[in-house]
Amino acid sequence: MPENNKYLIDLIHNSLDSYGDSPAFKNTNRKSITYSELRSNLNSNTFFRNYSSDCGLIAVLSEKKFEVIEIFLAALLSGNAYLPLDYHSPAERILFILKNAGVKMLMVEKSNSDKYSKALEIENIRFNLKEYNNEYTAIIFDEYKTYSPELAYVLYTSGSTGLPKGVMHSHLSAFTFIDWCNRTFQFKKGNNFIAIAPFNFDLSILDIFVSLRSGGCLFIPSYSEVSNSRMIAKHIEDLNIHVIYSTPTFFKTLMSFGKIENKQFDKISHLLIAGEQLMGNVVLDLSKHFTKAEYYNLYGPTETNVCLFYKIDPKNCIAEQPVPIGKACDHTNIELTKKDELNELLISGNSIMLGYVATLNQKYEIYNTGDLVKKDANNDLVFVGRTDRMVKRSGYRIELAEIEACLKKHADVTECTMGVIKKGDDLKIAAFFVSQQKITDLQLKNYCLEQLPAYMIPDVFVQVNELKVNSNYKIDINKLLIENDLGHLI
Amino acid sequence: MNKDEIKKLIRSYVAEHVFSGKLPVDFNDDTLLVSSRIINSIIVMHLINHFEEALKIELEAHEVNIDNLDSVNIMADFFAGKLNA
Repeated sequence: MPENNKYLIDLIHNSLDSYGDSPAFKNTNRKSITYSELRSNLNSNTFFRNYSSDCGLIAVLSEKKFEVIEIFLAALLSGNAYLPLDYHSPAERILFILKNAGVKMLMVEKSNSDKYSKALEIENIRFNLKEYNNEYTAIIFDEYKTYSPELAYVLYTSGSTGLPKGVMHSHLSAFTFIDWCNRTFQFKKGNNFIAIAPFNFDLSILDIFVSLRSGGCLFIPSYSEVSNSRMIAKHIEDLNIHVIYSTPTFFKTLMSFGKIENKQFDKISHLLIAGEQLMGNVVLDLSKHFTKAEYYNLYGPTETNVCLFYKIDPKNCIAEQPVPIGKACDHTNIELTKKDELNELLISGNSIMLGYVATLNQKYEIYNTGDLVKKDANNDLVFVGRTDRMVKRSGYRIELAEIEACLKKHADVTECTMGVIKKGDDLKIAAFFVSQQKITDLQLKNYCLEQLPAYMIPDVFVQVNELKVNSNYKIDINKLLIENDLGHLI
Repeated sequence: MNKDEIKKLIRSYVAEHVFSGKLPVDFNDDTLLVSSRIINSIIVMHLINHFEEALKIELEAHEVNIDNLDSVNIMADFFAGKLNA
């Protein structure tokens, strides 16, 4: 077995040595790189190695392209860890993450270098600028956190305390998941993958490392291409994609807006679906167009990687019923603990995170998912709800407390709370707020967009005279939803 | 259908699908919708499907982009151009 800080390094070296002139990554503008070229680039890249030997975080803020993955791999090979940042997050959130994580370097496209240099100067953070290559500038911080060499990457998600939180994954936890994928799905050299997920989303770990390990080629569409269902449908057909890993929302959008009626998707061998609850109707619709694919529902919070899975037979799906999340992967132990009449799912095993950035020394042997589950007749687990107020939209985790914390900072908002309107797998967020001033939806949307990612922005803002409490002295959100008649939003 | 009529349709669509029925008083035809992230990609795709049907036009995959869809005025210009093509 490799040392704890070597799992991904060995994986990268093995792939670079094994797959020669096969293409490793392609941007959809057809710019591509082979495994040999990647090996040569990484061998000659001494940028991170020359800087310092302790393990720090190399953050990357960039449009989606394979050059970003090269930076991730270079960071890992130099003994550092990487932190992919959300390209569309407001600068305020990016700055919070940079400080919270104590990053060693921030790699930005040259066009963004001035913007972030100035923002960091305003915050009195000391740094130096250095050219990394023709496309990227490195912002090198004078002070940074040192992490355990076991650390491979950090992903930030929405936090229940009102602030984003960084999930730390080790070489071992990442490798455990990647190895399980390769054994389970048997991907081969020459398989074509497409990176639908942004790199700051945990689905990217499969895209990047499972394709790399199997000798596949990962096509990397830009962010604007991913949001254009017609373009993505065209790429999936034209580029002979074999494997798609994405959320139910992505697949529903592809079918509704991708004009896929006349597309030939018979090269697709695997549709891997994860990130949010999957309903039977999505699979039934997919099976009309992707006739030769195997279907899997993969389950796992960012903190655990994929830890349960279910091989779907579309013939057994019922439109209005959720698809089971299945049984534990062979690297996972699951426990169920009673919560009222339901069971909360607890996860342990090698694929779970090292911990959170904010509580560096707290180790997690078991992770309480907060997901409530039940067993079906086949002993497969089915997701039935949450123990808390976390919701998911397009696969992204959203803590309502984080939206409330943002809105409460608005000078004219005295109180606020969030309500959720859910029908099937469609979900809308309503913000109820109290203010002495008249504030428009547009002002509040723009205010939130300065601090939160777009997927967290409420769909509707409702100004109310007061936030009434129920007999338990809790804000009566159901009453607010009913009184304001928001059912039409879905 | 002329450009002003198209604008009226777009305003009405945005009011209903983005602002739950009524345009805010500080909204105007130059308010940026996509680049400002006020509307997300799913609403954009809904909007395109709706106007393809309403105006009997068809957008190519490469035409679904921010340059053609970022405000009421920009969309109206683009849709009117497609109608007259």
